[in-house]
Amino acid sequence: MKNLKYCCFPKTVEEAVKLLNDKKHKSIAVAGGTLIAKSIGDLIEQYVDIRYLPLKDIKVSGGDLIIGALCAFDEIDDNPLAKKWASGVLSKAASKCSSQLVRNMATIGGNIAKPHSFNIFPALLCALNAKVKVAFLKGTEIYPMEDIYNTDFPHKLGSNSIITEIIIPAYIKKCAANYEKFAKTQACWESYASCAFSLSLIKGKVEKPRVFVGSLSPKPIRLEAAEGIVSNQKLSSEIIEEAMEAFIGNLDILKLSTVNIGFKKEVASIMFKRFLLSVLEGKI
Amino acid sequence: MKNMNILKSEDGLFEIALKINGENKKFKVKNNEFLLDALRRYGYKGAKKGCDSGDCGSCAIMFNGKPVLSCMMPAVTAHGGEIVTIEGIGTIEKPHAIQEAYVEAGAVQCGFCTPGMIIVTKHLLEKKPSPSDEDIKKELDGNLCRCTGYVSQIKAVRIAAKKMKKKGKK
Repeated sequence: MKNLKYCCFPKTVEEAVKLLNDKKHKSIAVAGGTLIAKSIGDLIEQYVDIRYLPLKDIKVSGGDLIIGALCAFDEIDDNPLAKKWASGVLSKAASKCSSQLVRNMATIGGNIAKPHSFNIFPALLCALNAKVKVAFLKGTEIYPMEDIYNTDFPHKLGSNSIITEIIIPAYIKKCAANYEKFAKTQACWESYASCAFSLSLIKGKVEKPRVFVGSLSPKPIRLEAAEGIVSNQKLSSEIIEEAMEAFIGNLDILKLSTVNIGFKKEVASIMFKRFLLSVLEGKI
Repeated sequence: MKNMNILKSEDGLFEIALKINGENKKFKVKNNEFLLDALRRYGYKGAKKGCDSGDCGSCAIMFNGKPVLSCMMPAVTAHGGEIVTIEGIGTIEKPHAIQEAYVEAGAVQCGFCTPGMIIVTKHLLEKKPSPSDEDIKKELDGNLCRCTGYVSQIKAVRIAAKKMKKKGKK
């Protein structure tokens, strides 16, 4: 931070993106700042404070739920629309992030643009099959949420482009979904394991299941083998046990090197089992 | 980009303009300084430096209407904002109802965490004049206290809610 020369307060997304692409100065976008403020290196010469951009709406458009990237966690937690979607999982997850003071500052855009194992929204939004709208110098484009964590993703979020909107598809509104985090305390940002799930129940059969694990790697992990077991099936105790085994097997293949991985995998699989049981029992 | 606000540092210092406790002020802040340090340097010592990493809440101030962690905000980014510190809430001679409630409930011991707690309590009671215990616990979950064990703060918020309703006070 000691080489910081400029701090800009753009009023439009276009201005912000232009500033980020200014070749003269190494720039970084800052919004809530909770993830990056303490770790901004000395190379940065220009802050682009995007906090005042008009990206704070939560609305329904064409049936989809649109969340402005600058919505803070507390705004999502309190939002009536967010509470209505997918069993209120967005609000529930937002309320599980760290402490209220952090929730007042941290934004959903920042949470997904700067992936970290303990971030809540990467795994959840992947589970909700969300898309993100990214603004860059030549315009805007919409990408599936999972793509932004691929190594070939064409933009550097926060450095030459910014996320403007998160789009949650209309079908998710009626889905059963859940987000669970296992941590030392509820206000603890760090967690041992976290999971996000969603599925549709059509005539008693599971459709479009999406199972993601967080905390075990900086990027959310999709467990397709576990999804495959429950897909197009009527849930039963046997199917749930089988899905749990597939869930652990799926994680085993990934050879994750986190500390106490065996314990964490077990915790995550129990979260998955509980989710499926609550769907079976009609609790979600 | 003609009308955009761009601040330029000179010799590592930015000049920022902000409203603090209702007064317009201009501060010179270092380019690597956080808001908490700048506030304390300018005499607003109510906000405390506890953990300096966003974990304890003793640096809480109101920024643009919301309690935030001033130790996590680069000072320069406070430019154009509106700040309320504990000094803007009440004084020894004329304490705010929330401050009175904290004293009545015995929710103040060493007092280090108290300014942050009061800032957060004020915001809670503005949003929810009759909060449940769950609401209180959730709102105060980022304010750590090493003396009291939290029971008395919850009691203080309950007392403050009653006092503020009675006085119709904000």
